[in-house]
Amino acid sequence: MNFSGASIVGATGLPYRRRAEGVTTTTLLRDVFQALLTQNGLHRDDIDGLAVCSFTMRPDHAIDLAWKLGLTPRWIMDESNGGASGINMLQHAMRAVQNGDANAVAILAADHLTSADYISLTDNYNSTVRDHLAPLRFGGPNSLFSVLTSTMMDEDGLSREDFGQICIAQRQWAAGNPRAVYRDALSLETYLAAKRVAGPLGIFDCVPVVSGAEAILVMRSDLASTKDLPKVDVLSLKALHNFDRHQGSGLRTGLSVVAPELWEAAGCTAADVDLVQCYDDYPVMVLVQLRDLGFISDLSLRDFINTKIATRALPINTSGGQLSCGQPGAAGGLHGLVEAVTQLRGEAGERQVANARRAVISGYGMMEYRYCLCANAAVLERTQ
Amino acid sequence: MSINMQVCQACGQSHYPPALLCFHCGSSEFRSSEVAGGRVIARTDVAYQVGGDPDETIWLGVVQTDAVTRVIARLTEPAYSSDHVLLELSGNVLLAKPA
Repeated sequence: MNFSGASIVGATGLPYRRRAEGVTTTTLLRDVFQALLTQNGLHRDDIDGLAVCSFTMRPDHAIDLAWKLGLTPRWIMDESNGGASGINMLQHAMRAVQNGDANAVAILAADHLTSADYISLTDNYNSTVRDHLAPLRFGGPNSLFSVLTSTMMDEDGLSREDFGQICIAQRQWAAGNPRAVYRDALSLETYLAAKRVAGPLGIFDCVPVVSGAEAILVMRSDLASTKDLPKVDVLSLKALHNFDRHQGSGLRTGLSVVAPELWEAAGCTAADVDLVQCYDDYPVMVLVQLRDLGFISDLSLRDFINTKIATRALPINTSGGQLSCGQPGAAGGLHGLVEAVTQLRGEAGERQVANARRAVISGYGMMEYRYCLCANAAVLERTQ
Repeated sequence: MSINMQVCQACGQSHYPPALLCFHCGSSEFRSSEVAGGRVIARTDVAYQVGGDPDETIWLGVVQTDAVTRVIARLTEPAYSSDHVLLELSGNVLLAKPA
Protein backbone atom coordinates (compact mmCIF):
# COMPACT_ATOMS: atom_id res chain seq x y z
CA MET A 1 0.00 0.00 0.00
CA ASN A 2 1.45 3.35 -1.01
CA PHE A 3 1.33 6.56 1.03
CA SER A 4 -0.80 8.66 -1.29
CA GLY A 5 -3.01 11.23 0.37
CA ALA A 6 -0.45 12.26 2.99
CA SER A 7 2.70 14.37 2.55
CA ILE A 8 5.55 15.78 4.56
CA VAL A 9 5.10 19.53 4.48
CA GLY A 10 7.52 20.83 7.08
CA ALA A 11 10.88 20.05 8.65
CA THR A 12 12.92 22.08 11.06
CA GLY A 13 15.18 21.86 14.07
CA LEU A 14 16.85 23.92 16.75
CA PRO A 15 20.60 24.63 16.79
CA TYR A 16 22.44 21.91 18.70
CA ARG A 17 24.37 22.92 21.81
CA ARG A 18 26.94 21.25 24.02
CA ARG A 19 26.34 21.59 27.77
CA ALA A 20 23.34 23.84 27.16
CA GLU A 21 22.08 25.88 30.07
CA GLY A 22 18.69 27.46 30.63
CA VAL A 23 16.77 24.82 28.70
CA THR A 24 14.83 21.68 29.51
CA THR A 25 13.66 18.90 27.27
CA THR A 26 10.12 20.26 27.31
CA THR A 27 11.16 23.83 26.47
CA LEU A 28 13.11 22.41 23.53
CA LEU A 29 9.98 20.55 22.42
CA ARG A 30 7.93 23.73 22.75
CA ASP A 31 10.46 25.79 20.81
CA VAL A 32 10.74 23.33 17.95
CA PHE A 33 6.94 23.02 17.78
CA GLN A 34 6.65 26.79 17.47
CA ALA A 35 9.41 26.81 14.83
CA LEU A 36 7.48 24.20 12.85
CA LEU A 37 4.30 26.28 12.96
CA THR A 38 6.17 29.43 11.96
CA GLN A 39 7.95 27.69 9.09
CA ASN A 40 4.63 26.67 7.58
CA GLY A 41 2.45 29.62 8.53
CA LEU A 42 0.21 27.46 10.67
CA HIS A 43 -1.62 27.99 13.94
CA ARG A 44 -1.51 25.58 16.85
CA ASP A 45 -5.16 24.68 16.20
CA ASP A 46 -4.24 23.40 12.73
CA ILE A 47 -2.46 20.47 14.41
CA ASP A 48 -4.64 17.51 15.42
CA GLY A 49 -2.00 14.79 15.73
CA LEU A 50 1.11 14.57 17.91
CA ALA A 51 3.98 12.07 17.98
CA VAL A 52 6.84 12.56 20.44
CA CYS A 53 10.13 10.83 21.10
CA SER A 54 12.43 11.73 24.00
CA PHE A 55 14.58 9.86 26.50
CA THR A 56 14.32 12.59 29.13
CA MET A 57 10.73 13.76 28.97
CA ARG A 58 9.75 11.20 31.61
CA PRO A 59 7.56 11.02 33.60
CA ASP A 60 5.62 12.97 30.96
CA HIS A 61 4.19 11.44 27.80
CA ALA A 62 2.82 12.81 24.55
CA ILE A 63 -0.51 13.64 26.15
CA ASP A 64 1.18 15.63 28.90
CA LEU A 65 3.08 17.61 26.29
CA ALA A 66 -0.17 18.13 24.36
CA TRP A 67 -1.73 19.60 27.48
CA LYS A 68 1.22 21.91 28.10
CA LEU A 69 1.12 23.05 24.47
CA GLY A 70 -2.66 23.52 24.54
CA LEU A 71 -3.20 20.94 21.81
CA THR A 72 -6.35 18.86 21.39
CA PRO A 73 -5.15 15.94 19.29
CA ARG A 74 -7.31 13.26 17.68
CA TRP A 75 -4.22 11.04 17.41
CA ILE A 76 -1.18 10.71 19.68
CA MET A 77 1.90 8.52 19.75
CA ASP A 78 4.67 7.95 22.28
CA GLU A 79 7.78 6.71 20.52
CA SER A 80 10.81 5.10 22.09
CA ASN A 81 12.94 3.54 19.38
CA GLY A 82 15.98 5.82 19.41
CA GLY A 83 17.80 5.91 16.10
CA ALA A 84 14.86 4.29 14.31
CA SER A 85 12.29 6.57 15.90
CA GLY A 86 12.05 9.22 13.21
CA ILE A 87 11.14 6.86 10.41
CA ASN A 88 8.92 4.86 12.76
CA MET A 89 6.94 7.97 13.71
CA LEU A 90 6.78 8.95 10.04
CA GLN A 91 5.41 5.50 9.15
CA HIS A 92 2.65 5.72 11.72
CA ALA A 93 1.80 9.36 11.11
CA MET A 94 1.55 8.88 7.35
CA ARG A 95 -0.87 6.01 7.84
CA ALA A 96 -2.91 7.98 10.39
CA VAL A 97 -3.30 10.92 8.01
CA GLN A 98 -3.82 8.70 4.99
CA ASN A 99 -6.65 6.89 6.77
CA GLY A 100 -8.39 9.95 8.15
CA ASP A 101 -7.45 9.70 11.82
CA ALA A 102 -5.77 13.12 11.73
CA ASN A 103 -5.29 15.99 9.29
CA ALA A 104 -1.94 17.33 10.42
CA VAL A 105 0.52 15.50 12.68
CA ALA A 106 3.44 17.25 14.36
CA ILE A 107 6.32 14.82 14.90
CA LEU A 108 8.64 16.12 17.60
CA ALA A 109 11.81 14.85 19.26
CA ALA A 110 14.15 16.48 21.74
CA ASP A 111 16.53 15.76 24.55
CA HIS A 112 18.56 17.75 27.02
CA LEU A 113 20.99 15.32 28.64
CA THR A 114 23.28 16.13 31.53
CA SER A 115 26.29 13.87 32.15
CA ALA A 116 24.30 12.17 34.91
CA ASP A 117 21.36 11.68 32.53
CA TYR A 118 23.69 10.15 29.96
CA ILE A 119 25.23 7.68 32.40
CA SER A 120 21.82 6.70 33.73
CA LEU A 121 20.47 6.28 30.20
CA THR A 122 23.33 4.14 28.94
CA ASP A 123 23.41 1.94 32.03
CA ASN A 124 19.64 1.45 32.12
CA TYR A 125 18.79 1.43 28.45
CA ASN A 126 16.83 -1.78 28.89
CA SER A 127 16.91 -4.77 31.22
CA THR A 128 19.56 -6.56 29.15
CA VAL A 129 21.93 -3.62 29.37
CA ARG A 130 21.14 -3.03 33.04
CA ASP A 131 21.67 -6.64 34.05
CA HIS A 132 24.39 -7.87 31.68
CA LEU A 133 26.43 -4.92 30.39
CA ALA A 134 26.33 -2.18 33.01
CA PRO A 135 27.86 -4.48 35.67
CA LEU A 136 30.90 -4.87 33.38
CA ARG A 137 31.31 -1.05 33.39
CA PHE A 138 31.14 -1.35 29.63
CA GLY A 139 31.27 2.37 28.94
CA GLY A 140 28.03 2.65 27.02
CA PRO A 141 27.59 1.95 23.32
CA ASN A 142 31.15 3.03 22.45
CA SER A 143 32.54 -0.34 23.48
CA LEU A 144 29.96 -2.33 21.50
CA PHE A 145 30.56 -0.32 18.36
CA SER A 146 34.31 -0.53 18.81
CA VAL A 147 33.90 -4.30 18.52
CA LEU A 148 31.73 -3.92 15.41
CA THR A 149 34.34 -1.57 13.93
CA SER A 150 37.24 -3.94 14.56
CA THR A 151 35.19 -6.82 13.18
CA MET A 152 34.56 -4.90 9.97
CA MET A 153 38.24 -3.97 9.80
CA ASP A 154 39.12 -7.66 9.94
CA GLU A 155 36.43 -8.86 7.53
CA ASP A 156 36.73 -6.10 4.93
CA GLY A 157 40.38 -5.16 5.26
CA LEU A 158 39.69 -1.60 6.41
CA SER A 159 41.96 0.64 8.44
CA ARG A 160 41.36 3.52 10.81
CA GLU A 161 42.20 5.84 7.91
CA ASP A 162 39.22 4.48 5.99
CA PHE A 163 36.79 5.25 8.81
CA GLY A 164 38.46 8.62 9.20
CA GLN A 165 37.48 9.52 5.64
CA ILE A 166 33.82 9.25 6.64
CA CYS A 167 34.27 11.61 9.59
CA ILE A 168 36.29 14.06 7.49
CA ALA A 169 33.76 14.13 4.64
CA GLN A 170 30.88 14.67 7.05
CA ARG A 171 32.78 17.52 8.69
CA GLN A 172 33.12 19.10 5.26
CA TRP A 173 29.35 18.97 4.90
CA ALA A 174 28.96 20.41 8.41
CA ALA A 175 30.92 23.51 7.42
CA GLY A 176 27.78 24.61 5.59
CA ASN A 177 25.40 23.86 8.42
CA PRO A 178 24.92 26.60 11.04
CA ARG A 179 23.15 24.09 13.32
CA ALA A 180 26.22 21.85 13.61
CA VAL A 181 28.25 22.02 16.80
CA TYR A 182 31.53 21.09 15.06
CA ARG A 183 32.11 22.89 11.74
CA ASP A 184 35.90 23.28 11.56
CA ALA A 185 37.75 21.15 9.03
CA LEU A 186 39.03 17.82 10.34
CA SER A 187 42.34 16.51 9.03
CA LEU A 188 43.33 12.87 8.87
CA GLU A 189 46.28 13.62 11.15
CA THR A 190 43.97 15.12 13.80
CA TYR A 191 41.56 12.21 13.43
CA LEU A 192 44.30 9.61 13.89
CA ALA A 193 45.87 11.45 16.83
CA ALA A 194 42.58 11.83 18.70
CA LYS A 195 42.10 10.56 22.23
CA ARG A 196 41.34 6.87 22.29
CA VAL A 197 37.89 5.98 23.59
CA ALA A 198 37.63 2.24 23.05
CA GLY A 199 40.01 0.62 20.59
CA PRO A 200 39.93 1.25 17.67
CA LEU A 201 37.53 4.17 18.21
CA GLY A 202 38.80 7.67 18.95
CA ILE A 203 36.71 10.66 19.96
CA PHE A 204 35.91 11.63 16.36
CA ASP A 205 34.27 8.23 15.80
CA CYS A 206 31.84 8.79 18.68
CA VAL A 207 28.89 11.17 18.49
CA PRO A 208 29.16 14.04 20.97
CA VAL A 209 26.14 14.41 23.24
CA VAL A 210 24.28 17.68 22.67
CA SER A 211 20.96 19.27 23.50
CA GLY A 212 18.65 19.79 20.57
CA ALA A 213 15.31 19.20 18.93
CA GLU A 214 13.90 18.21 15.54
CA ALA A 215 10.43 18.28 14.04
CA ILE A 216 8.53 17.37 10.90
CA LEU A 217 4.95 17.90 9.87
CA VAL A 218 2.79 15.35 8.06
CA MET A 219 -0.41 16.68 6.51
CA ARG A 220 -3.26 15.64 4.24
CA SER A 221 -1.94 16.30 0.73
CA ASP A 222 -5.07 18.09 -0.41
CA LEU A 223 -5.02 20.31 2.65
CA ALA A 224 -1.36 21.14 2.04
CA SER A 225 -2.25 22.12 -1.53
CA THR A 226 -4.93 24.54 -0.36
CA LYS A 227 -2.38 26.14 1.96
CA ASP A 228 0.21 26.20 -0.84
CA LEU A 229 2.76 24.33 1.28
CA PRO A 230 5.70 22.61 -0.46
CA LYS A 231 5.21 18.84 -0.31
CA VAL A 232 7.55 15.89 -0.05
CA ASP A 233 6.09 12.47 -0.85
CA VAL A 234 6.99 9.20 0.84
CA LEU A 235 7.55 6.85 -2.10
CA SER A 236 8.19 3.86 0.16
CA LEU A 237 9.01 2.99 3.74
CA LYS A 238 10.08 -0.39 5.06
CA ALA A 239 11.18 -1.69 8.44
CA LEU A 240 12.48 -4.96 9.83
CA HIS A 241 13.46 -5.18 13.47
CA ASN A 242 15.30 -7.99 15.30
CA PHE A 243 15.79 -9.61 11.89
CA ASP A 244 18.48 -12.08 13.00
CA ARG A 245 17.30 -12.51 16.60
CA HIS A 246 20.69 -11.19 17.67
CA GLN A 247 22.55 -14.25 16.45
CA GLY A 248 24.71 -12.52 13.83
CA SER A 249 27.84 -10.38 13.73
CA GLY A 250 26.01 -7.06 13.88
CA LEU A 251 27.38 -6.03 10.49
CA ARG A 252 24.03 -6.58 8.77
CA THR A 253 20.67 -5.06 9.65
CA GLY A 254 17.09 -5.77 8.67
CA LEU A 255 17.65 -3.35 5.79
CA SER A 256 19.57 -6.07 3.99
CA VAL A 257 16.32 -8.05 3.82
CA VAL A 258 13.84 -5.28 3.03
CA ALA A 259 15.96 -3.15 0.67
CA PRO A 260 14.66 -4.90 -2.48
CA GLU A 261 11.07 -4.24 -1.33
CA LEU A 262 11.97 -0.65 -0.49
CA TRP A 263 13.34 0.09 -3.95
CA GLU A 264 10.62 -1.82 -5.77
CA ALA A 265 7.88 0.10 -3.94
CA ALA A 266 9.69 3.38 -4.64
CA GLY A 267 10.00 2.57 -8.33
CA CYS A 268 13.68 3.39 -8.38
CA THR A 269 17.08 2.07 -7.31
CA ALA A 270 19.92 3.26 -5.13
CA ALA A 271 21.48 4.75 -8.25
CA ASP A 272 18.49 7.07 -8.67
CA VAL A 273 18.68 9.03 -5.40
CA ASP A 274 20.32 12.43 -5.09
CA LEU A 275 21.28 12.13 -1.43
CA VAL A 276 21.45 9.65 1.43
CA GLN A 277 20.98 10.17 5.15
CA CYS A 278 22.13 7.19 7.26
CA TYR A 279 21.92 7.04 11.02
CA ASP A 280 25.53 7.77 11.96
CA ASP A 281 26.03 6.99 15.60
CA TYR A 282 29.40 5.55 14.48
CA PRO A 283 31.15 5.50 11.08
CA VAL A 284 30.92 1.71 10.90
CA MET A 285 27.13 1.92 10.88
CA VAL A 286 27.16 4.33 7.95
CA LEU A 287 28.93 1.65 5.94
CA VAL A 288 26.65 -1.11 7.21
CA GLN A 289 23.50 0.77 6.20
CA LEU A 290 24.89 1.83 2.82
CA ARG A 291 25.84 -1.77 2.07
CA ASP A 292 22.47 -3.11 3.23
CA LEU A 293 20.65 -0.55 1.07
CA GLY A 294 22.56 -1.70 -2.00
CA PHE A 295 24.90 1.22 -2.55
CA ILE A 296 28.12 -0.77 -2.43
CA SER A 297 27.21 -3.88 -4.39
CA ASP A 298 29.84 -3.52 -7.08
CA LEU A 299 32.68 -2.00 -5.08
CA SER A 300 34.81 -2.95 -2.11
CA LEU A 301 34.08 -0.90 0.99
CA ARG A 302 37.43 0.83 0.67
CA ASP A 303 36.85 1.73 -2.96
CA PHE A 304 33.39 3.03 -2.11
CA ILE A 305 34.81 5.19 0.68
CA ASN A 306 37.51 6.59 -1.59
CA THR A 307 35.38 7.22 -4.66
CA LYS A 308 31.97 8.11 -3.24
CA ILE A 309 32.30 9.28 0.36
CA ALA A 310 35.68 11.02 0.58
CA THR A 311 35.04 12.86 -2.69
CA ARG A 312 31.44 13.60 -1.67
CA ALA A 313 30.42 12.37 -5.13
CA LEU A 314 27.46 10.77 -3.39
CA PRO A 315 25.98 13.25 -0.90
CA ILE A 316 25.82 11.31 2.37
CA ASN A 317 24.79 12.84 5.69
CA THR A 318 24.80 16.32 4.24
CA SER A 319 24.11 18.07 7.54
CA GLY A 320 27.46 16.77 8.75
CA GLY A 321 25.55 13.99 10.46
CA GLN A 322 25.50 13.45 14.15
CA LEU A 323 29.27 12.91 14.06
CA SER A 324 29.65 16.64 13.40
CA CYS A 325 26.35 18.12 14.58
CA GLY A 326 26.14 16.07 17.78
CA GLN A 327 23.60 13.56 19.03
CA PRO A 328 20.64 15.18 20.77
CA GLY A 329 19.46 11.98 22.44
CA ALA A 330 16.33 10.62 20.83
CA ALA A 331 16.12 13.61 18.48
CA GLY A 332 19.01 11.99 16.65
CA GLY A 333 16.40 9.63 15.23
CA LEU A 334 14.80 12.53 13.37
CA HIS A 335 18.05 14.19 12.35
CA GLY A 336 18.48 12.55 8.94
CA LEU A 337 14.81 12.87 8.07
CA VAL A 338 14.77 16.61 8.79
CA GLU A 339 17.95 17.09 6.75
CA ALA A 340 16.55 15.11 3.82
CA VAL A 341 13.31 17.13 3.74
CA THR A 342 15.28 20.36 4.10
CA GLN A 343 17.39 19.39 1.09
CA LEU A 344 14.36 18.37 -0.96
CA ARG A 345 12.71 21.71 -0.17
CA GLY A 346 15.85 23.46 -1.42
CA GLU A 347 16.41 25.12 1.95
CA ALA A 348 19.82 23.73 2.89
CA GLY A 349 21.80 26.92 2.23
CA GLU A 350 25.54 26.50 1.69
CA ARG A 351 25.32 22.72 1.76
CA GLN A 352 22.40 22.47 -0.66
CA VAL A 353 22.70 19.53 -3.04
CA ALA A 354 21.97 20.86 -6.53
CA ASN A 355 18.64 19.71 -7.98
CA ALA A 356 17.92 17.44 -5.03
CA ARG A 357 14.71 15.62 -5.91
CA ARG A 358 14.90 12.19 -4.31
CA ALA A 359 16.45 10.97 -1.05
CA VAL A 360 16.76 7.81 0.97
CA ILE A 361 16.93 7.89 4.76
CA SER A 362 17.75 4.99 7.04
CA GLY A 363 17.30 4.55 10.77
CA TYR A 364 19.10 2.21 13.13
CA GLY A 365 18.90 1.92 16.87
CA MET A 366 18.01 0.30 20.16
CA MET A 367 21.13 -1.31 21.58
CA GLU A 368 20.36 -4.68 23.06
CA TYR A 369 23.33 -6.89 23.92
CA ARG A 370 25.95 -6.85 21.17
CA TYR A 371 24.32 -4.49 18.69
CA CYS A 372 21.05 -2.71 17.90
CA LEU A 373 17.74 -4.28 16.95
CA CYS A 374 15.82 -1.72 14.91
CA ALA A 375 16.26 -0.81 11.25
CA ASN A 376 14.06 1.09 8.82
CA ALA A 377 14.33 3.23 5.73
CA ALA A 378 12.25 5.56 3.58
CA VAL A 379 12.54 6.93 0.06
CA LEU A 380 11.30 10.51 -0.29
CA GLU A 381 10.65 12.63 -3.35
CA ARG A 382 9.96 16.31 -3.79
CA THR A 383 6.48 16.72 -5.27
CA GLN A 384 6.66 18.07 -8.78
CA MET B 1 34.66 -22.21 36.98
CA SER B 2 31.67 -21.96 34.64
CA ILE B 3 28.44 -20.12 33.98
CA ASN B 4 24.90 -21.37 33.59
CA MET B 5 23.37 -20.91 30.19
CA GLN B 6 19.72 -21.23 29.27
CA VAL B 7 19.16 -24.08 26.82
CA CYS B 8 15.90 -24.94 25.07
CA GLN B 9 14.67 -28.37 26.08
CA ALA B 10 12.96 -28.87 22.73
CA CYS B 11 15.70 -28.00 20.26
CA GLY B 12 18.88 -27.37 22.25
CA GLN B 13 19.28 -23.71 21.26
CA SER B 14 21.28 -21.82 23.89
CA HIS B 15 20.50 -18.23 24.90
CA TYR B 16 22.50 -15.60 26.72
CA PRO B 17 21.03 -13.40 28.08
CA PRO B 18 18.02 -15.64 28.77
CA ALA B 19 15.03 -15.54 26.41
CA LEU B 20 11.30 -15.84 27.15
CA LEU B 21 10.66 -18.07 24.16
CA CYS B 22 13.31 -20.03 22.30
CA PHE B 23 14.63 -17.93 19.42
CA HIS B 24 14.79 -21.01 17.24
CA CYS B 25 11.65 -23.06 17.92
CA GLY B 26 9.47 -20.87 20.17
CA SER B 27 9.36 -23.27 23.12
CA SER B 28 9.10 -21.89 26.66
CA GLU B 29 10.67 -24.98 28.26
CA PHE B 30 14.29 -24.47 29.22
CA ARG B 31 17.00 -26.18 31.21
CA SER B 32 20.21 -24.83 32.59
CA SER B 33 23.54 -25.99 31.22
CA GLU B 34 27.03 -25.29 32.54
CA VAL B 35 29.42 -23.66 30.10
CA ALA B 36 33.07 -23.56 31.07
CA GLY B 37 34.43 -21.06 28.61
CA GLY B 38 35.09 -20.30 25.00
CA ARG B 39 37.22 -18.44 22.53
CA VAL B 40 37.69 -14.67 22.29
CA ILE B 41 36.52 -13.52 18.87
CA ALA B 42 36.76 -9.77 19.43
CA ARG B 43 37.91 -7.48 22.19
CA THR B 44 38.27 -3.83 23.07
CA ASP B 45 39.91 -1.69 25.67
CA VAL B 46 37.61 0.94 27.12
CA ALA B 47 40.01 3.77 27.84
CA TYR B 48 37.47 6.53 28.34
CA GLN B 49 33.92 6.60 29.63
CA VAL B 50 31.74 9.40 30.94
CA GLY B 51 32.13 9.53 34.70
CA GLY B 52 34.87 6.88 34.65
CA ASP B 53 38.39 6.82 36.05
CA PRO B 54 40.68 8.28 33.35
CA ASP B 55 43.57 6.12 34.56
CA GLU B 56 41.66 2.85 34.33
CA THR B 57 41.27 0.73 31.21
CA ILE B 58 38.61 -1.95 31.14
CA TRP B 59 39.08 -4.84 28.75
CA LEU B 60 35.98 -6.41 27.26
CA GLY B 61 35.76 -9.44 25.03
CA VAL B 62 33.15 -11.12 22.87
CA VAL B 63 33.48 -14.79 23.68
CA GLN B 64 32.16 -17.52 21.44
CA THR B 65 31.21 -20.04 24.09
CA ASP B 66 31.46 -23.80 23.96
CA ALA B 67 27.63 -23.68 23.66
CA VAL B 68 28.04 -21.56 20.48
CA THR B 69 26.25 -18.51 21.88
CA ARG B 70 28.32 -15.33 22.07
CA VAL B 71 28.66 -13.48 25.37
CA ILE B 72 30.32 -10.24 26.40
CA ALA B 73 32.63 -10.56 29.37
CA ARG B 74 35.13 -8.46 31.26
CA LEU B 75 38.61 -9.77 30.45
CA THR B 76 40.65 -10.04 33.62
CA GLU B 77 43.76 -9.78 31.46
CA PRO B 78 44.19 -8.40 27.93
CA ALA B 79 43.51 -11.18 25.45
CA TYR B 80 43.76 -11.65 21.72
CA SER B 81 41.38 -13.14 19.20
CA SER B 82 41.33 -16.94 19.37
CA ASP B 83 42.56 -17.00 22.96
CA HIS B 84 40.70 -19.54 25.08
CA VAL B 85 39.17 -18.19 28.27
CA LEU B 86 37.24 -19.54 31.22
CA LEU B 87 33.99 -17.85 32.21
CA GLU B 88 32.92 -17.07 35.73
CA LEU B 89 30.10 -15.02 37.17
CA SER B 90 31.42 -12.93 40.06
CA GLY B 91 28.37 -11.34 41.62
CA ASN B 92 26.70 -9.99 38.52
CA VAL B 93 29.93 -9.42 36.58
CA LEU B 94 30.73 -11.96 33.87
CA LEU B 95 34.49 -12.49 33.93
CA ALA B 96 36.71 -14.15 31.33
CA LYS B 97 39.99 -15.47 32.67
CA PRO B 98 42.91 -16.98 30.80
CA ALA B 99 42.42 -20.74 30.28
